[in-house]
Amino acid sequence: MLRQILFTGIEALPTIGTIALFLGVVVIIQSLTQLPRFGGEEYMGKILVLVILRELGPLMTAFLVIGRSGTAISTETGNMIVAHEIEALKVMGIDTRLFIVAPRILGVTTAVICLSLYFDLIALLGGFIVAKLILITSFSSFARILFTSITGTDLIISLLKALLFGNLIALVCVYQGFSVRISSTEVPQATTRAVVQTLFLVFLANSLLTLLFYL
Amino acid sequence: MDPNLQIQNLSFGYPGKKIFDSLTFAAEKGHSLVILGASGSGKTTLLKLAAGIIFPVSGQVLINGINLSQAAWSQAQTVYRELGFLFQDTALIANMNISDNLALPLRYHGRGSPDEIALRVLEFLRQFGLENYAESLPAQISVGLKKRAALARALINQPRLLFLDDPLAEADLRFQEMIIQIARAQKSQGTLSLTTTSNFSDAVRLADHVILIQQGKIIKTGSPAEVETAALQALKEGQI
Repeated sequence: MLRQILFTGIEALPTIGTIALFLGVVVIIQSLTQLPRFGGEEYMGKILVLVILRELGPLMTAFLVIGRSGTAISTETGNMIVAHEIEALKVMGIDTRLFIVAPRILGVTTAVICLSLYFDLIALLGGFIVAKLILITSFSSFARILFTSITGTDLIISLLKALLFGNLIALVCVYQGFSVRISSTEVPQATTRAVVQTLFLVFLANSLLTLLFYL
Repeated sequence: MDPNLQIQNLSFGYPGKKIFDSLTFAAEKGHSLVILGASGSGKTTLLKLAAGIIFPVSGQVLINGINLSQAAWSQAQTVYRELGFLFQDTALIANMNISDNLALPLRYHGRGSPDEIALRVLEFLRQFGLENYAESLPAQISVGLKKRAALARALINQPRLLFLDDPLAEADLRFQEMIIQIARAQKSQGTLSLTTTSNFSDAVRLADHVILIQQGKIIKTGSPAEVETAALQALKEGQI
């Protein structure tokens, strides 16, 4: 499980951080420049929370983890089937649910939750620092706007989404890896199925959660 | 409990293709059985059926009296812990080094303290000439060394039933001699062993009982001497 957290979480920090920074810059600059034109300055904090914390943080983190770790999980599991490693585990009396599936679910879910929070932090603060180079906005006023807009529900929903997405990614990718039967040519097919199905389910789950909590 | 294996009216196949039809044989403590057959005759499949890795379409396999296809995992696990299985293509865990591969069944089943497990692994690494490759991944060592590591892993749990899939194939002379010595030692300790080969001379070296299979059926069983005529006939027909 620690190896999974290391690969899915720690090693993904630079990529997630860079993307969060770029997206944060875009959203913050657009908010700071466009909203005042329509007299909507008071909604700035709400829009940042809505776009970054509620939606982009968990979703973008899930996309990156699907591309980076989901594919690795289904490929690794599929190759273990082809190389008879799963059979070897079985005949040693080793429960593959505990040895293969559980560490990946726990590792990926933990990593997605932590990465999602990291994404939010970098996108909001890092994005502000870069935007500060272009715009004249003090950190204190930016922070005040932001913190008065964030509610406990926003944080809980963001974490709930990350928890759900992490479980979906690990479960679907392991399942597709285990769907490989005998040939190594099945492995890339299973990986493609894993990516497509996980993306679909993550979008669906995101829409359902948003509908459930914000309508 | 003494090791015991019973194969009763075993049939196996895939949709549209029957591989085995009503096979029956049995073995017990100290027996060394060899399944002899041509390449592609299903020896590996039969070995996996006998070890409870895959399950028959009909009939049953009883290991120590337990039908693994119907047993709960906890019960099946007690049987699997008694088995050692050497896969033809080694099936070492690719992302673990050789030392961890050997330690895996001991650690998982809590067979000893970490220090005891480390000592046992070291003993096996030395016995199989792998001490210089303990930290290597399977992909970093030769096929011959991988086979030695896979055999060491199969034996490290002190199995009561040993399944060896074509162990002498592609093995150098030193490793062949090692396998023969191990097979004899295991037999003297009462281990039941089931081995596959397509080579009659290998069968003679490894077995006290040969099961000759052809086109999904057992055509002859008995001591190597008793099976020799049938094996030679099959050889003439290109069946082995």
